[in-house]
Amino acid sequence: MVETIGDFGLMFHLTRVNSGLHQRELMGAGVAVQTVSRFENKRSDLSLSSVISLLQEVPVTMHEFLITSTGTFPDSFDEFLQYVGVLGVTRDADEQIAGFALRCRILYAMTKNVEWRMRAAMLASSGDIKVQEQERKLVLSYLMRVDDWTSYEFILLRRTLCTGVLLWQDIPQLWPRLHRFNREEHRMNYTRQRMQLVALLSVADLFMEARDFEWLDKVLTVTRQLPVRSGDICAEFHLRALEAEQLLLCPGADHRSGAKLLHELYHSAKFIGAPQIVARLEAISVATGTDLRKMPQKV
Amino acid sequence: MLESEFGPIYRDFRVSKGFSMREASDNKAASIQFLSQFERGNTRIGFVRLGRLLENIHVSMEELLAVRSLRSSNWLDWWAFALDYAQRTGDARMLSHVLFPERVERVVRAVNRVILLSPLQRRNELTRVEKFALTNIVNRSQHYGVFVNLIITHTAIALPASVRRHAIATLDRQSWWDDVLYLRPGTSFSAMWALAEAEVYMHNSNKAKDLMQLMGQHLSPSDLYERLTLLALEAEADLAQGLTQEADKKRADVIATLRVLDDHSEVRRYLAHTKLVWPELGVK
Repeated sequence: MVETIGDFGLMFHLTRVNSGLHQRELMGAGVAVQTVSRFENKRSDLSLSSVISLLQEVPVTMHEFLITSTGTFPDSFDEFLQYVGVLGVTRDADEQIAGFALRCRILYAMTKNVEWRMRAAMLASSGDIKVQEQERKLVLSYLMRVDDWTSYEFILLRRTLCTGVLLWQDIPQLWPRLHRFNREEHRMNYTRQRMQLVALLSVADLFMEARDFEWLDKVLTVTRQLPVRSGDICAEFHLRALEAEQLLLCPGADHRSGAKLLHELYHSAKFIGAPQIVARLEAISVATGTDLRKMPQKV
Repeated sequence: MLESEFGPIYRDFRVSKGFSMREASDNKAASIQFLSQFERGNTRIGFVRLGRLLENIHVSMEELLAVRSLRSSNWLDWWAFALDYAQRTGDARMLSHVLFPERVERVVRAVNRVILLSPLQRRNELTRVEKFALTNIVNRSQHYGVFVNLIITHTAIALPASVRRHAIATLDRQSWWDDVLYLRPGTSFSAMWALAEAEVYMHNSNKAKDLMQLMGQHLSPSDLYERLTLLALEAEADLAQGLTQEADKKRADVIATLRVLDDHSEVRRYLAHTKLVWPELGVK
């Protein structure tokens, strides 16, 4: 957590200098030059409204100011969210953090504080069935309590599914909250939408593994409609591969179009040069007995 | 006062997440009296304190500032979104609703005017004064953030060669970041893409190739969108060199990929782009 005003002031200073602007040129924001100077020199706090008006003048997006301008984070919560959020995107994330996560989880769990125990559950599995059951109850009761989920809840869900604290059997009772989204909402709530997308894809993976096609279909239907999907090619490959697998495995589905879709995805993944996706599609073709070298024949 | 907006929004978050005022003001974040005044919009609040209050209810600063009903959201965020929206849909009307500081009026208006034009049309449409203003911003910035990158992405073709060289050197020095979809035209990658496309247009095929290689080096395995746009650029480079068949094949593969991924807006964006660029590069 930022204990002093210094970090914000420094971040603002860097942002301003990077844009090649002088303090005088920020007069349009209606904040006195002396105030800006005191803020940058770590001598006083600045109100929310002044910070926002100054950022209009610089010009810099909120995302840049909060996350990327200096590589430091304005508070530990943003930092924690960002950190755990990234875990779902990198492939060998679990290995990368295993050691760190275990150390943290032991410390966190000892605090007996709900907040920190949930963080512990997100980081790694405790390996103890009794502790796991307690944590499962804790996380479930928290998630059931919150009506409108923000990034935190989607990340909590996805991470606790990864660490095995929550199970796919827990999804149906969380579904009313998990699947809700607002079609009109876009852009700046990007972080939350993306976390929802990734959470839904992990849930779909679990239902696929469990061969629960009814729920899988439910999850995929919602995932397909999320506006944030467009342009996120990794997520789109993930989703389409699940759809192909669903068509190939689900009894009564159109296996031929499943094979066709898998074949087309394979061709595209090779064209872009995405080895991890090629590998995933090959695994699906082996599991379903589909030949990727031959385009399926027309009837 | 902005606080009169943020207080009630904070309260909505807190209530919908089921936190009491006591829990929200925990950890020395604030006194309950202060919190209650803030939630009613009756008091100013410092950035640091707001951060603590948000942490207690599991909401990030970004999420608070992203609330749609907020009147005072960041103009640059809006502009980036409106530019992206215009390219995806072909509808530039939203751009005229974006307010901006007076100081950047000339460049913002210039970019808005040319957003739907082809590269050659952009070069002809922008006036000498506008080009000067654009150049000035690119030269003056020591580090390119979303704002400068957006400007380069949309007007690279109209910048003088020396400015383009300067921009390439600056972009090469700084670390690249990405990953906010509506801000994608504001990334270092997109700015470099536009600079490389400008080289393709100038028929500097070696320079364009070097830049494409440089861009490839900056990519991580999961940057699939960027990889695809790089292939699209290769198609343009082939076309400029008279390799029409190769270019058409690559273009068809890009379209097929976006189609199989079922991404209608990206298909539309790419088709609109090639419709403008193909006749210009293919003539010679």
